[in-house]
Amino acid sequence: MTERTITFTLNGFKQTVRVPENLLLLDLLREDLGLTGTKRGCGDGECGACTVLVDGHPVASCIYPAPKVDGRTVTTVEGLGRTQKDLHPLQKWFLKLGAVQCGFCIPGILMSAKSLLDQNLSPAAEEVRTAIAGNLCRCAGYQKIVEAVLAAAAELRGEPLPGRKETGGEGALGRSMLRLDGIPKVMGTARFAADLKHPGMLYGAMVWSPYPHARISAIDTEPALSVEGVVAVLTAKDIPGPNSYGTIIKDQSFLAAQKVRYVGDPVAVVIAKDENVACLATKKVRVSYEVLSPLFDPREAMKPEAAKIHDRGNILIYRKIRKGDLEEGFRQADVIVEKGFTTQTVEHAYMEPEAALAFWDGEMLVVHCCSQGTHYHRHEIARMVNFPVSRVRVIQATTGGGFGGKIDLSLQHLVALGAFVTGRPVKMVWTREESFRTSTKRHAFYLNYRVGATRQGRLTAAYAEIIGNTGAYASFGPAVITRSATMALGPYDCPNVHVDAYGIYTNTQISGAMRGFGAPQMSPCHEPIMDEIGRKCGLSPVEIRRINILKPGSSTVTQQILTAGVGALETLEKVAAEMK
Amino acid sequence: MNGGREMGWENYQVMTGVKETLQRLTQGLGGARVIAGGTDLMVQIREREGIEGIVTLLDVTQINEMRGIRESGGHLYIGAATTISELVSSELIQKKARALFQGGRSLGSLQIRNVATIGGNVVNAQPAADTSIPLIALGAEAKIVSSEGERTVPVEELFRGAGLSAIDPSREILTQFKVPISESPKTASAMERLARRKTFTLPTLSVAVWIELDDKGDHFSQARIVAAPVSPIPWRATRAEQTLKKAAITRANVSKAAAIAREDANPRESLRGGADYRKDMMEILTHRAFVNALSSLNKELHD
Repeated sequence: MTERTITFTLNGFKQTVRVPENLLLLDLLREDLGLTGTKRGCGDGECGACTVLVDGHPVASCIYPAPKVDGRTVTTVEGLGRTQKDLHPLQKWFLKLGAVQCGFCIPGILMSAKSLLDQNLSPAAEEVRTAIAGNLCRCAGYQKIVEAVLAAAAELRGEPLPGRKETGGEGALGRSMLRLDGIPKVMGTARFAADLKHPGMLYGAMVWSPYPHARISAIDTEPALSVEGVVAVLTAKDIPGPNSYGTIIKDQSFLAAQKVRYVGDPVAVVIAKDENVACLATKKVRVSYEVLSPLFDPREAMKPEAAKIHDRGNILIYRKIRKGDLEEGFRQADVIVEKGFTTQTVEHAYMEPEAALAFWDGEMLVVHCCSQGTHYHRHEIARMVNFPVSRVRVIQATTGGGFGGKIDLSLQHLVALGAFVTGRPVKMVWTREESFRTSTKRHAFYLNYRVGATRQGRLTAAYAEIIGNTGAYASFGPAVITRSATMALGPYDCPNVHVDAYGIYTNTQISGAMRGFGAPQMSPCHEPIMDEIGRKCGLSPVEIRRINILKPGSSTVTQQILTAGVGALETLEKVAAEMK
Repeated sequence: MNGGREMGWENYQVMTGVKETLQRLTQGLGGARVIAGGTDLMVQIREREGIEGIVTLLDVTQINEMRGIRESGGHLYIGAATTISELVSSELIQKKARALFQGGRSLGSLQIRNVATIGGNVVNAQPAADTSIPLIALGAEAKIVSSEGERTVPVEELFRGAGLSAIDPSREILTQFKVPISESPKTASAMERLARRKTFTLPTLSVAVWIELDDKGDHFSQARIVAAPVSPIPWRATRAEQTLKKAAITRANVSKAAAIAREDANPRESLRGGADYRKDMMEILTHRAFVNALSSLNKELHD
């Protein structure tokens, strides 16, 4: 590899560094110069988390060759406010107006905004939106970010600042509080797992199944182990404890031993002295597969004659709800609406791809990682290595969004196993592609509804069949399917309800927890049905809902009698009043 | 590269002159190629773990003779290493090559436009490239140099297939675009771009038109209609263009041309739009593009 010496100005200081010519600017900043405020969210110049300024202009540093900055000026988030007391107005207003949530996108957005304000101190909101169009945010939403940029511009123009109304009161009550971890997030000093380092650290890289359904006949790690710099290749054989995990049903292997059930199913992990060697050596792990025919459609997979994806069969859960007399309910109905629906798989697409670092601290196995479930992760890791939980410590690093997708294990156990086996610190960071490929998703559903009502619009009977694709493993499937079944009618009251809800294994990516947890798939079904019943009865969308909405005294689908705290009607009335 | 930090090349050289770049290409014996902004190439290199046979990248973005925009003798000269941001902030482009301004400002995000170049956009040879379509509509030519000499080729002839350019970046350099412009207020251009979002997304369909009116200004003397993605390379609606020759600038004539463009277009189904939808939108965007171009001449379609 050719190297060259480049000199450039970084955050106001001259830097002379020797770089390999195939280095990207992002890696120069993060790895060689230790400025980890700039993030890698996608590696393709799409997400904007890696935005830095070159000669004052925003660029995507993840697709920007480092040799290009020779003789130029680079500004990163670390160049904005140098101390907590000396924050740039943009950083201050991002904090004050609550524009910061997970914080992963913030350094990039701050740089795009800085470049805009350097050229134009009086931008219109639309100009702010255009300036940050190349920066994705998944938590806060863009509105607060735009407001914060406009407020910073006003401060820089020396104009009186828009204050936020505070009602006041005891202590924190009625006051706008700054996020506890907000300052490090706007300074770029918050430590996400990918930003962590440990002396003597090794790197892990994934070997995953290229087939949706196959039997593993052999794994030959020798060719990979012979690559210079490779320390270990982890497979199922390295797991001292039981090779199974899962939050509800332990149907998933820490590393696949006999069978793979989706494209992306982890099979082995190469541990090497650096990331590059680890990645290259993954191609030398020879896995022999006996390819099986895959099942992708849950309606096919649930048939008795379908090939079994798991030994116990393909029906993960059948959740049955029976309330009242359905036939009688339909006999009382003057109008009946029947509709079929499908909903799609959804990826959480948190800005931060999965990352983790594990090491030994005395006899304690320590894992720093992105996580929404440290206690769950701790128990699974302890089980994997046959330790009491007291010998495993899982510490949540600043986590760049989760939305339910970081409750399951992703790579936490794999770096833990790496540290356990080699005795050395092990770090792994997934690419965006790996994150998409192996992380859990929102369940895709096939739904069939039949709902009856009297001519006056009162619901008399409802039947819902819900078939959820839970993918290769259970994850939170049983709970999501149960939630869907109980939410089948949303906030509406009906005396006679039957629900048949199924969670079905297929050879697609794993479905798990995601915001709303099975309820969001229901609302695009029960709402249009209410509209249609309303049309058939000559009632407006508000009227048909007013008649059927849950009130104190109503009975839910699961026959719970509601007493207090039922806000649905009040909400409806407020919306109706607002729309007048 | 799967998270690995080293990219799939060995040498990266920021060049300062066309001549020395050609020498390095010749010395590289095929193992070297030109890179401009690299916003597409970097992604391709990461995904494919390199480019077969290429060990050296020669960066042409700092070559002064390949940068900037100037007007001379009825033409605009645009350096191929001019960034998209520079292109769309140029008053010359905004006034005299409107379709190119309208296309360029829709390209990628600011981060991409600050680095991507007009030459790279064309050589990358994606059929719906936001500067290729208007350049063809404007009748632009490309200057291509190699160690064997220099040639000038209409931009329209640079496309061999989706992602396949007639320019060989391991042998040749696209240095400049030459765009004919007219002083008299008789010509105009416009581009209409339909996409799922307003910004930072590839188009479902783009249509660029260029028109020339007769001396009286009430008839088209000629027109060009370019659309993509309709086929693996940018597509000319030639039959529709023919119908507008010496035709009055009426609603009926433009509607007829737009309908013919729709009839002749044969787009495929993709993630960004169905084939039938694209065909329908061909007619609508063509119509809009004519109205848009005429409006810049303060003209409207009459009945």
